[in-house]
Amino acid sequence: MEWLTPLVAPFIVLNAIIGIVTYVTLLERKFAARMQSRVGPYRVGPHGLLQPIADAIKLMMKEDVVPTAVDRPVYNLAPIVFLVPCMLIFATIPFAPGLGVADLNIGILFFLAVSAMEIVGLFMAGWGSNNKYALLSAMRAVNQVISYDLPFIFSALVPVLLAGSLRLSDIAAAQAGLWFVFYPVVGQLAFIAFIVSTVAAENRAPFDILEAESELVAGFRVEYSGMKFAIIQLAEYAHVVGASFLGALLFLGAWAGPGPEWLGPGWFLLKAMFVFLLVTWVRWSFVRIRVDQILALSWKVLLPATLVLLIAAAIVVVWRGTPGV
Amino acid sequence: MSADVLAFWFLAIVLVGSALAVVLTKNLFHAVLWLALALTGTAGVFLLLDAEFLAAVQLLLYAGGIVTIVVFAIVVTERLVGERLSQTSRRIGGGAVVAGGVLALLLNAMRGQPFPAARPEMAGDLTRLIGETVLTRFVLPFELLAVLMLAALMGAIYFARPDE
Amino acid sequence: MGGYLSVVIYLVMIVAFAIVSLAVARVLRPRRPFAAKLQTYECGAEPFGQAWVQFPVGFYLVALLFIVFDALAVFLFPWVLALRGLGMWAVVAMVVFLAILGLGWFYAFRERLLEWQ
Repeated sequence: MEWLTPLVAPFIVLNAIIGIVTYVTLLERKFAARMQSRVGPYRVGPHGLLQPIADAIKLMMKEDVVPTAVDRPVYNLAPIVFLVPCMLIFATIPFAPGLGVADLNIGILFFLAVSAMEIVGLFMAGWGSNNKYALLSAMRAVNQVISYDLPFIFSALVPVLLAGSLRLSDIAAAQAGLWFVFYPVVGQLAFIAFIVSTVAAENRAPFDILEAESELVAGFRVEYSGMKFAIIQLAEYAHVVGASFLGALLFLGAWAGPGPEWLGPGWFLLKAMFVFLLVTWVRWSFVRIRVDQILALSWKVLLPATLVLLIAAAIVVVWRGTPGV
Repeated sequence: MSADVLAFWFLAIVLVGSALAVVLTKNLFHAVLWLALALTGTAGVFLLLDAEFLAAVQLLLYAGGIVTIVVFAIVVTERLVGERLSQTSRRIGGGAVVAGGVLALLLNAMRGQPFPAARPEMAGDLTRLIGETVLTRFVLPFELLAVLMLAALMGAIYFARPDE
Repeated sequence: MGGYLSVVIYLVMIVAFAIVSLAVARVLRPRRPFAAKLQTYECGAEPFGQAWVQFPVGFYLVALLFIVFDALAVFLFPWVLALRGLGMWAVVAMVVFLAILGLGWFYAFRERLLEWQ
């Protein structure tokens, strides 16, 4: 299949992502509710299916309260600066062979580099709000994001190494025979490290010290309301969904699945949602851990472990002489 | 004008504008944000030159890492407690003269060259080539770089560690 | 330019989406500000002072470690690609590199910098 024209593909991808991300909120609420023996959203539409749309409209109609103490230009720009990297990470993900914005040469590196830019938005939201909770939360968030970025990169490099290419479509194609999560020992360990780093880098419980509901109220977005709040939430969920898609692509064989080829994107979405639910499952199962424990886990355990794993994978690949792409 | 040239001028204006804003703005935090924009613009310039690996590294290391370390450096600095952070750039005139001089030198050097030099086509995967060259021809500098990074890390830790 | 045009168009679309949705919300939403509503939120208590305060040095140290290992990560990408062509030699070169940096990690460990303070 040819790449779609440069104008159509970004438009389709953007709308699809916004749709998926909006409904992922419902998925998470339903999933969390079931875990706690509740029903979850049920009233708006059949089985609460229209809940995300109602939420979006509600947030749009809400008054936008801008405290007088904020640093206005920074405060107003922060949601946009935060949204851009969180949506841009999808640019290089192929949703099926040839279906995506751009299949870049440096695919995974682009994803990781753009994803690192979310830090700037966090800083802006936290600092611009001129609120003690917001600033402390943003600093904690950045601290945690940079700590877990490294294990995230190193564990994501294991499938890259097995495939021998940075291009995401190559990595997906390389798993035609064997999904990398089933690669003996190396694959499973890398997948576990990847999931743990994702949970932490996305600042989700049990790593949610940036919010810690009882302590920092709504975290760095405490002073945001209305549509600006909605955009920040959208960006956060988009980032988690983006990481889920990446996980599904790196470890679960992307669009591979039974049935005709046009089902590919469906399989991919299903696998991405599986990764997302895995992350959500962790989120709703464990209690929050302390900041020193969070940092120790990253720097003392995950960082050296993922590096050793990467070297081990390299030795296996060189030893067995698997042909790369 | 071709799209390449247009993109270059757009990036050039963003880069120069944000770089000037870094040194001229009074608010220290705004200066960091302008710096982030300047560093991102640099990534754009790399991209225009087909150096996609460098562009991504620029975003990863500078826009992500360096901005973080500068912001953290601001928030942990003791001297600034209690007062609104502000930067006071002194001797702006002198700085402008030096900058102008460097610009004149560069322009002078460039005048001798045939200017719109044709860019050679990049063949093959550049990132892979970088890897192969670094690990064979430049393997000694590569290992020495590790020593340099180690020295930087240890020095920084030594000075920044809290007193017991 | 290997697909970067689409990426730039996609980027512009994201920004356009954010601006349009903010503009639409601006038309739809009510606006009834009063002094107490516009105060900085501090759980209902009277807010005092600015939020811009000093933070513990631990934040800076973590960022420092991050920069060094991020630079290491940058080298891992070309290394991964060159691995198959160069074989065991590439592995050995990277192990030496990691071992040297590992000394820095060990020093940070010894100085208890990997623990939050």
